[in-house]
Amino acid sequence: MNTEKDFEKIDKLLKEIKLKEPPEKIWDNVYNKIIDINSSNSIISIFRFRPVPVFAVIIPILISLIMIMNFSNLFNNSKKVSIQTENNYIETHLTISMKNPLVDRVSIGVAMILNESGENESE
Amino acid sequence: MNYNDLPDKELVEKVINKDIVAFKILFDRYSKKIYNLIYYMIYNKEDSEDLTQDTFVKAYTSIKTLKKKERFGNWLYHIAINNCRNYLKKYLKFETVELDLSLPDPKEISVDSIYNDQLQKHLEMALKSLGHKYREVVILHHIKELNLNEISEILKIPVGTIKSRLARAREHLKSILKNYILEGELV
Repeated sequence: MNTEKDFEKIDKLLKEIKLKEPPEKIWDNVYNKIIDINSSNSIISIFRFRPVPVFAVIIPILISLIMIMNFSNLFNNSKKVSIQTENNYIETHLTISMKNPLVDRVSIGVAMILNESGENESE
Repeated sequence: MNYNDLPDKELVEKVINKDIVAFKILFDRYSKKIYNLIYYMIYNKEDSEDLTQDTFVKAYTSIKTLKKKERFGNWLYHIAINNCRNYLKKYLKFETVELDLSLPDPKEISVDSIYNDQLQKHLEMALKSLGHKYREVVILHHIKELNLNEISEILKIPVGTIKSRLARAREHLKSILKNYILEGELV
């Protein structure tokens, strides 16, 4: 048997293999995945390539941190304050800062709340 | 502008700029070839669909890395082949190929009926009986009609290796499909 000729026959036979049609849903799935990828990339790219939104996120966080640290420093300088109500005596630590009017308001507010709670307890 | 007339290179450049319409044209151009390549590699309809989908998604996400944009097709085949290899390594480690060698008597088959479903079945079985590395070469060469240099580029192996694999694959196929070859003539 002629091997070369046989190989040619094999090649001819292989060409007879029918190609199958891929289902249309493949493109639908590919399309959905591409949309997901594009949208997730756009979110990531905000942080990667644009400095302004980064500052818009980081700066408020930094300001918050500074304020928290400022408050904690003030608490280190807290003084013992006694509040006398009619029937109850409440003793607590309050922050009093003469430098920061905002903190003054807070401490006054706390004192008022304590005062009210003392009244409630006395009742 | 009619995207259908654009060559692969220009479509690839558009896809890099997130043009999904251009990617759809490339998908239409190659999806059938990729699907059949994968199907004849793994012989599983559902998984072929998943791997075809995965191939195109991978192509989309890494299309920026494609240096020779005019070779998009070969690059896509390379991704598909790698997907098939990973799949076969993962799921078909202990694959057993059952061959139905009870071929019909060729004398009972008319010349016209050679292109029937039975021949398709036997051809598919013959292909399936080949080892993976032989099967991928045969599919790319005979079904995809790619030349040896293109196959070498896709599989990243020398042309000489492809030639020897093709020769061994033909020998194997000849022994399985011998009933279809009678005295040098195609039945």
